[in-house]
Amino acid sequence: MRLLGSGVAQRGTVARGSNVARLGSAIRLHDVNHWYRSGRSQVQALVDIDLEIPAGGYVALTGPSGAGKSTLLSLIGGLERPQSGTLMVGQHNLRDLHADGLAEYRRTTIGFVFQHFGLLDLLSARENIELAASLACASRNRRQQARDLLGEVGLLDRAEHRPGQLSGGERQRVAIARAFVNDPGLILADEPTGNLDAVSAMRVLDLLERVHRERGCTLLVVTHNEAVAQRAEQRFQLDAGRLNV
Amino acid sequence: MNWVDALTLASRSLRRRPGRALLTILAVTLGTTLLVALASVASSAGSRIVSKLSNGGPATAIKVSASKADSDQIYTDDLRAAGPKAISEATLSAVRHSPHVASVIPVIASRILAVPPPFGSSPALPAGEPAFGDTMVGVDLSKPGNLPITMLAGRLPRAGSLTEVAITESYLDHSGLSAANALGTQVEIAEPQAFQGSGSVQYRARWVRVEIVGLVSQQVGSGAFLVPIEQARLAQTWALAGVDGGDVFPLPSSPYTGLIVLASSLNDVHAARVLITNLGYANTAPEHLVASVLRYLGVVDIVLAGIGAVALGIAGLGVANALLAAVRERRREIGVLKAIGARDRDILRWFLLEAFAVGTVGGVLGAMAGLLIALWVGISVNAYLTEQGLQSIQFGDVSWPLIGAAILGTSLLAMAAGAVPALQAARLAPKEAVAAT
Repeated sequence: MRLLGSGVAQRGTVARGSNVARLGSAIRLHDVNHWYRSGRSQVQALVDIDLEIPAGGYVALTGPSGAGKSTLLSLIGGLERPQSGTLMVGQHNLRDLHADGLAEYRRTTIGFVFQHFGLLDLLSARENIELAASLACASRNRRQQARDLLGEVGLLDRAEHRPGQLSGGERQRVAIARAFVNDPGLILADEPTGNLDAVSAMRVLDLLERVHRERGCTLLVVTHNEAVAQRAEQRFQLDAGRLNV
Repeated sequence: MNWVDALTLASRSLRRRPGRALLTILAVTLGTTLLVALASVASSAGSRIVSKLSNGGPATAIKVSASKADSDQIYTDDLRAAGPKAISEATLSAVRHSPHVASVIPVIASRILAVPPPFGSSPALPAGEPAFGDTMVGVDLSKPGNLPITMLAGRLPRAGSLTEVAITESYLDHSGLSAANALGTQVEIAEPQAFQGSGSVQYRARWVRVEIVGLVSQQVGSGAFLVPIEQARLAQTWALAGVDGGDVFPLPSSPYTGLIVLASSLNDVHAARVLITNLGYANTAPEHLVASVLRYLGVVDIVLAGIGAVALGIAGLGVANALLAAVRERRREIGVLKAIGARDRDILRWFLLEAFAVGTVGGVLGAMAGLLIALWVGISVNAYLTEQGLQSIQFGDVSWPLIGAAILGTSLLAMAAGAVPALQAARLAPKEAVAAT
């Protein structure tokens, strides 16, 4: 595993399937603070976070409910900007990016996997992936790309099924296929096994880890589950917005 | 997200909640139906009312008489004649060249004696002028739509025909013919000529046999027969070949008995009448009456448009409400889309297309339903008019510009109504949206 800044390779120069980390997806937080307003009061979600996640790493983020895990994931994923401190993902300084810049960042750099899968019920499995491909690039082979990804997660025969017609495990595998449609440098998984039974959870984790290895992307998993956290190469724990390494 | 993706999302979103989509489309349909039906009926009724005011002819028609105009002519719709004044070719030319005039139709009237069948048993031609008690009004019938003529039965004589005539109801009254059997009846017409007999002026006639092909109500000129101008011109030429019959039967002093002048538009009627009056001719047109009625019709149009606008406004609120509910329901989906890279304008496009689809479908259905209702109103009104022994009027003309405007307007209105929810969706913070999962 390479640490931030320890290499000179550029993102995109790594061949697919390579196990070499991609520097473009390394994460560095320095003195990050974040808070919310709740009525007239202010809730401190993250306090003085200093964190470095190496490019190509597999990291688990744990902690009790309300510890700030999802907030940290949102900041790293570019869903919102930190109110103070420095947050760098690859070459991107997320505090400097505005709405369209953040959308571009999410589109090109991040793959999200949600606890509730986040698939659009309106669309079939294939169409969900095609829509993500459409957002990511103007590829004319979106359909083939979607089918390739579904094949990669073992769901080619379920391509035309809508999410409601799939099991929880299958939905999460479709979501994983969608997360990889833009060949992201960083996968952010928010409780990816939270809604799955034990067997499905292990299959999904196996899949995430396999794709992570094959593509060399950074994998950050937020979880309550100790068994899931133990599979990561490195783990961080958040407690009341503070980070315990 | 490209347009096809956005359209797919919009159509699938509508199908996901078919009940709500149908109700929203129904609201738009009802609003459009009301607006189109009201506009169609108001437009038809307005044009028919104006047509009635102008005696079946175009509302821009001005009747010019071969008479001098008095000083008050321009202030009244009525004819204010003050002695004869010949209408010459120069007069026609002067009027035709006015920018306010679209066309000029000359009229020739000739006095005649008409004898209905059975022929051969008709009384001997009475001596003296009173025998020629009818008048034939000759006019160019190639463009009857430009004339104040209403067909009551049959058809107009063919333009240029020397053997066909149309009669008025006044002729039916004194000829003994009925409306049912008049059509197809042949009438013998005597066109008079004065000549110098032994010691006194005497009269003789040129006889022609013609067929009655139509029954009309006409305001072209005072007379029982409406004929192609060629027939009247022959009668005039025949009369002019004779001598002046003095007070009893004077020679025609004017080549034309009158003119029908069509102004370029309703706004040009006054200027055209000023020109004709300045040329010295008495004239008449329902100028002030039409202007007054148009003002009232304008008020009616505003009221009807207001009712339609309220209906469309309610439909717009329905669209807005449905989309607001959709935004609330789809917070998670919006958040997911943003998380995977959708920009604000992608979300905006999705919701605006959804509103546009609702507006377009509702607009098309509403326009069709509105036309059907206008047609139904027309049929009902005509049934009532017929029952009351009145002349029917034509409703239900398809106004393509109205339909196009209704569909386009409804689509744009729906998009305008959907703009606020769409902006709300587009501005939804991705974190907040994802948190809704």
